[in-house]
Amino acid sequence: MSAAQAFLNPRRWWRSKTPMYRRNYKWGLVFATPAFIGLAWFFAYPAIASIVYSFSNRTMTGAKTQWVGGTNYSGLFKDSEWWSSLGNTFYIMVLAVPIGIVVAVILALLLNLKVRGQSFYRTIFFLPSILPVVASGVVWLYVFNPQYGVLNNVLSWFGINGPGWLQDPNWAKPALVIFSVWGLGNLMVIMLAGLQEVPQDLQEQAMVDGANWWHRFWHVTVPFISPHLMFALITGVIAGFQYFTPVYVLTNGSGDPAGATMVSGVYLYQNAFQNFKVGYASAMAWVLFIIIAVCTALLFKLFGKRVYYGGE
Amino acid sequence: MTSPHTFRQVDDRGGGGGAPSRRRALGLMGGAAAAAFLSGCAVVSVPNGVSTVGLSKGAAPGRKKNIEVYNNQGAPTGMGVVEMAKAFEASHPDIGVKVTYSPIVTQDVQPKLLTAIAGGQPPDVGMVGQEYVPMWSRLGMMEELTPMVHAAGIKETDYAGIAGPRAWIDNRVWALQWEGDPNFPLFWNKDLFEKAGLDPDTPPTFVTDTGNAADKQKTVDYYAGKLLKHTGGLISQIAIVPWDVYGFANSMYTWGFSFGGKFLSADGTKLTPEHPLNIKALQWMTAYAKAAGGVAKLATTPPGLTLHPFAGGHIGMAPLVGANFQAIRTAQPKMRIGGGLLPYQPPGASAAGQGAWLGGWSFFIPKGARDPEAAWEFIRWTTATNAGATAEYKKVGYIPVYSNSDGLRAARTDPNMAPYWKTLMSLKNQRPLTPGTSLLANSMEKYVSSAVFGQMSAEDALHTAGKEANDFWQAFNKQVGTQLTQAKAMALLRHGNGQVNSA
Repeated sequence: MSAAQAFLNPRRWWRSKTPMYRRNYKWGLVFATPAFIGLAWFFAYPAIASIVYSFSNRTMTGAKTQWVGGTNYSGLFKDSEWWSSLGNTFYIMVLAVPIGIVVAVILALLLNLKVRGQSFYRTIFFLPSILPVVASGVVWLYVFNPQYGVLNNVLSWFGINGPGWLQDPNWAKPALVIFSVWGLGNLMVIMLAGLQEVPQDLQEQAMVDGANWWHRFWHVTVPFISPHLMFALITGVIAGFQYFTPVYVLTNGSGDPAGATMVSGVYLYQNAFQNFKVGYASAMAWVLFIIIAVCTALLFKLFGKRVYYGGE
Repeated sequence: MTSPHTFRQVDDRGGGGGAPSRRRALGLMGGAAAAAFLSGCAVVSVPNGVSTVGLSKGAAPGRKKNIEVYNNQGAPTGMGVVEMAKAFEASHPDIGVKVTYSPIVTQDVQPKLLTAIAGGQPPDVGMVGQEYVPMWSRLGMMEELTPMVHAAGIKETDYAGIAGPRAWIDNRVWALQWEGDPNFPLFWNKDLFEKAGLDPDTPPTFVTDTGNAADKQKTVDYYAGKLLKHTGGLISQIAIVPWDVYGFANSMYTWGFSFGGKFLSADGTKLTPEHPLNIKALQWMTAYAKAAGGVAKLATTPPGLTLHPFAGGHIGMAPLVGANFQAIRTAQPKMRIGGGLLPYQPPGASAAGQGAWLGGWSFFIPKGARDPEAAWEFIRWTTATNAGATAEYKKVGYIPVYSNSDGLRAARTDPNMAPYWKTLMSLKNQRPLTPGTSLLANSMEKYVSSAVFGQMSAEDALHTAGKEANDFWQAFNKQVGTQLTQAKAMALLRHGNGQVNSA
């Protein structure tokens, strides 16, 4: 009996099951109940509440909350700071996601080579991704320091006067991109896993047929890791619209310099926790959700058919 | 996004197929151990050897009552708060104090405290800046302290400078200040002054050109010319960093007040960052930045209250908060530092130190606190008794504002604290007490920064910041109701010929 039939006629469905199935089913429900409650309380309730709040002028404490209809949403269209923050978010995402994927693939290719100390190198490149963002962010504050930072000091060896990085409105976003790419260990491991699933016999056949390194990479390796690339792209875009912690740590959450790093997540946070405009911040969250959903759907539409799932 | 906080998902297809080899397992374990070591290492400096406790503590055992205090101070002052709570427990055998670290993040935001209050699980005592009281009290986040204050016989005149008047508005009290944060005395590096041919004992009197030739060598601009150095296209030494007085917004307040600017209208109904003298102050900041070679060539903002870059010996002068100054004193005991009042700019301002304004944290009882009675006893002891205020001075290190305290008296003669005492006693300003002040801070942070970076004019920057803040304030009033008496009182305080009154 299908799930649809069980839903339409649950009594009949229940009677059709053996006593052992019914007993297991009941215990299954008992054990799953805490998870259901947790999901309902910590995910479903806040999500539904934030939809409701987004149509109100709710403050942090809920004092004198009134229904304001779509005012918060229409207000966003007129809020130049919101558009500016979306632009900054998009800028960082458009640079960080592709660069991150390319660098992760290159690193994975290198770390897939059978060389002495392979595990050591893998560990070294993976380490940044398991460091807390706050801790690594503080370290990068010093790395990006225009006067004493290691980055500008290294650039000076080549006669380059490094920019002000986080102190310069033109360089603050590129600095955030560099910081993001530095922590791509997880993505690198995913690509490494993908590379190890590429059939060696195909590679060998291609080699016998005279394919050079690039041809083998492009026509054999890339199709086999395309699901991983797709995964990286989708999750990268989703995380990109939720970009928050690095800005929060590296700029003290101010969006400095001159609003250059004011991303949507930080602007939302400021509205909720500093200005107590919880209703307005909730509207931002839902607009971001819609943008993410649309972008994800577009990416599936554009690239979904190009993904090769092996024999599936 | 490939940031470190993303891609936490576990790839269910495995990382290479098959069981990991022993070498790989060892490698991964080694990596994990190294990461745990790196992430677990926290270097916490403890100036003056004040304390080696943490930022939180449990309540002393066996007490009849226990209260919870949220501590928003990081190391080392936060450790002092824990020690202060212990001192309270020692003098109050019936009350235990649990101290929970609730850090300040961006621009005084305390997310842990705010969510605890919003969630109906507040601590018994929290910390708040007085400029947030108009908003928080009207949103029903605070218990009114007035009946308890009256019953205890505490008066606004019990506090130094404007600390009392700004808490006693219309005879209503919501929070009492436990530490003074006179922002700011000016400190200068005597060695740098000497090397530049300047008198090591004389800081500048004026900010910029007064129009009087005799004053020319007494201005910050003159000192700037003497102290500025470039190396490899970067600023390697600078006289002062006027746009980096603890953020662009606080810089604007400091130099705006130093020029005689106002941030609140005389009737207390409008925020006025676009006051003509504030615009002049910002114009000076932008001109100074340009003359120095550009803001982007210098980075001096410390991440929180860590060692201030002034300690590096390449900055001639800096307005400093107490915690930074104490830390510098400890880290650089041989550094010769002078301390005094901020320079000022006539004709708007008429005396040194006129740019100073009172910051500092107050204790309050959040609405819904479980034991307001015991919470009040903690607040009364720490803010309105000699024992409490002196314990704060000795354990935490901030100058106290309770007048009848040995701590405040000691600060007057302590060579390190005397500049703070002098500043506290002479200052007349503060960030405006209005519901729009938090948004003004955000707006000024952005637009003042834009002006300093040359992206907009000083006039446009401050007009835009003012419009955003006033729009927000009006919307707030529309929703929560108008109650402008606090703002009006503070306007009177700051426009009343220097007289301190509470309207």
